[in-house]
Order: sequence, then C-alpha cells, then structure tokens
Amino acid sequence: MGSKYILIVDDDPDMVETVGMMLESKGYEVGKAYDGVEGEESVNKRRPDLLVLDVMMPRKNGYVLCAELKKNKKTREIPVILLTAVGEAVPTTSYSHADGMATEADDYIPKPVEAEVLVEAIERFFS
Amino acid sequence: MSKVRLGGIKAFEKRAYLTSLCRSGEDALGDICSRLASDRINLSLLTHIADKGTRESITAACTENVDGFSSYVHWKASRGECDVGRLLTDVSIISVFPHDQKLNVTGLLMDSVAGHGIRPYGFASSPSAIAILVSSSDFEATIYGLFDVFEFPTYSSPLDWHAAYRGQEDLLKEIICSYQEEMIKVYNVTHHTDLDFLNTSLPLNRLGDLGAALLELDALSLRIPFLVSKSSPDGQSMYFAFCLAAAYRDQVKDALDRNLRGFDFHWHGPVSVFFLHGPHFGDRYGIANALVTSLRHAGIAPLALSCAVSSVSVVIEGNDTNQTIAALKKSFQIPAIKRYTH
Repeated sequence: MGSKYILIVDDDPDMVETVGMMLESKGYEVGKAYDGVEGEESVNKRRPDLLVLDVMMPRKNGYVLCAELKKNKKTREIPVILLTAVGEAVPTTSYSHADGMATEADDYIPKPVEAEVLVEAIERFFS
Repeated sequence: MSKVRLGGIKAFEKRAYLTSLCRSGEDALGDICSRLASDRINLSLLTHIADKGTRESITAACTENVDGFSSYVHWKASRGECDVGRLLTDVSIISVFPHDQKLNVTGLLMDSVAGHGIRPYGFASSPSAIAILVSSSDFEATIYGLFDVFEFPTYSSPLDWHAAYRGQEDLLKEIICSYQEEMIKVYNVTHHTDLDFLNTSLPLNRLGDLGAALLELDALSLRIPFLVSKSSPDGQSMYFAFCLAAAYRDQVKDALDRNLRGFDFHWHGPVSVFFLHGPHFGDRYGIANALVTSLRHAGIAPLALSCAVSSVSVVIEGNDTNQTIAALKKSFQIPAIKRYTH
C-alpha cells in the first residue's frame, strides 16, 4: 500500500491536512494542492494513483477539473473521488449531483465525510 | 532571508468583529455562544483566552457583516460582568497555510505585519493555518507583505493572487453553507500534551520582536500548536496566548529574554491542546456552542480557544486528556484520536 500516491485537492487547508494525516497513517504517500489550478499542475507534474477532489473551489472547481482529466487520454484512468457538499446537505448551492455525474468521477462522497468512509472508498480502488 | 514556501492564502472580507473583556468569571462565553447559535448566526472565527488567576477572559469573534448588529445585541445582553467592545465591520480574515505549526511561519507573519505598519486586530491559529484579522484599509498592505516573506506555488505576486481570487467572492459565499448533521462530524481529534501556556501583553511596536523570538526558536525545530492574540481597544498593544513544548522552557525563556527583555510572560503548565479537525467550523452555526457546552457539562473550563478556518483548537489544563475526550464525544462524532507528546 505504501507505494500508492494520492493527491488531495481542496481549498480548505484543515481538510487537506486532516485527510492527508489519515492517509499517511495508512501508509499512503500524499500530495496536497489547494485549488483546482494547483491540482491540475500537480497531476501534470506527478501522476497520482488516485485523486481526492473537492467540488467547490476557487479558480477551477472540482467538477471542471475532473471533467478535464477524464477527457484527457493521459489522465482519464486516474480514479477520482469527488467530495461533494451539494444536494440535500446544502440546499442553497447551485452545484448539483447532475453536474457531478457528468464529470465521470469514479466515486462521490458527501461532505462532511466520515474518515473511515473515505479510507474505505480509497482502498476499494487498490484492492 | 529566504522566503518560506507555503500552499496558499485565503481571505474572507466584510466580516463584523466583536470583542469582550469579562471580569466576573461567569460563563459569558457559553452564554454568548448559546445566544448566537439559537439565532443561527454562523461564526467565521472565535478566540477566547481565560485567566484563572484574575478570573478575567477575553473573547473575540467574527461573523458576516450582515449578522454583526444582531451578534452585538446578543453580546451586550449576555450574562457576566463584561465590557463589550465597539462593533467593527469590514474586517478581513487572511489565512496562510499550511504552517505545519512551524515557528518560522508565525514568526515571519509577525515580522511582515510589523514591517508594513499594519495594525492587526488579532491572530488565530488552526491546525494547518494561521489567520490574521485586519481592517479593510490594511487588507492590501497585508497581502503585499505576505509576498515579502512567503512564496506560493500558483501565484508569484499580489497581482497574481488578486487575478486568481478576485471575483471569487460569490463562490466563497456559496461554500459557506450549513451542514445539519444530528451529531457534528469531526474528521479526527489530535491532542498535544506536556505544553507550557504563555500569556503576555506587548506594545504593538514590539510585534516584530516576538516574531524574531519565534524565528530564533524555529532553529530548535520546536512547534507552536496554538496561538491567539487580540489587540487592546486603543490598538496600542496586543494580548498573546500561545503554547510551546515544556521541555524547551529554558530555551524559550532565553529567546524571549533576548528579544523582549523586561516584558512579563505568565507561564502556566502543563497544558494540553486538542484539535478537532474539520467539523466545518465557519460553514455552520452552533459548533462553538456545542464545544463550549460539552466542556462545561464535564466541568472543564478551557484556558483558551481558537476556532479558525474549519477546525477548533482548545487549550486544557493538565495532561489528563481522558475527561476532555469523553466530553467531546458527547457532542461530536469522533472517529480517531491521536496523541502527540512534546
């Protein structure tokens, strides 16, 4: 498990720190990016084995980044888990699960996520 | 001095800022948090420092501008013998991250603020970020000052940062949303034990010297897991409270003495710091109230609090953390607990 490199992209630094800590404790190597543009650059610099991607971020949101990665031959095989605070949890948002489905993300987990749920979701891709 | 590489800057503007100094030792903090929660007022930031000796406490909070007056009314009505400060609006919260609790990040931030003549209202740490509160008139100078001491991966200048983030205010507002779980979810809890808790009041013109002391201590690879501060009503001085490893007490005393000779630091220890990582503080109302209520019901009076970014940091007397963990579990869904000893 230790050789797997997971990139976390979220504009909430506490979230990135926390998820990173959880995954490192499980033996994963963790990369961190704090918005969609930095996330895209990070993917291009080093291809992650899996991407944990927040939806609502400035500059480039998670839906857009995910859709771009899935259209690109070089990156389409990277599993993407979208962390979504949309739908029933946040009735005021203009983001929707329909938008998310269109991105072809590999999994969707609603925020606030339970740590074990996220780790289990990640480990499913590597089992 | 070479710049320190960080991940990013996040800014929230147009915040109302409320403060109080309470002398009675009554639970003014709990009352304030309860009133704000019952009115569904979301806090963007909350800091609290209590002095058990004098029974005085200093509390400061930010809400959206639009909630400022309602919050002020609640503060004025709260119980306790408190002086409520003037309601300030258009305050900005600027956070840099990740600081990894490194002293050089906080030290350089103070150095930058002092060097640019900025008059901050306060500082507040989270597990991953350090936030500074400034007036709207100091906003630009603060952003420019950050680029003197830090570098960021996707923007190389204040103009780059503005180009990337201006016009994103609506998105950030959309991110501020209300999660309504029955039990507030926390990603995990970590706690640091064997710490000293230091308090002092310094003239604002000595802020750079405190930064210099922290930069000196950074050479020891010491971490600063907690820091809050609040300016005096006249803006001439700042009250600081922070935690450092007790094992380095002599080195800390030496560094403070070299840079701030003649200023009294009140030392208290041992203390522990708890981090509740990511209960989405700032995204939903009632988190501070849940925290303070659960601690009060367990008979725990926090020495200090910092609710900033999306996490909560609490300073508790002593190294026996079991009682605090049990109290937190009554209000928060906590999946994992990790302990760090300094």
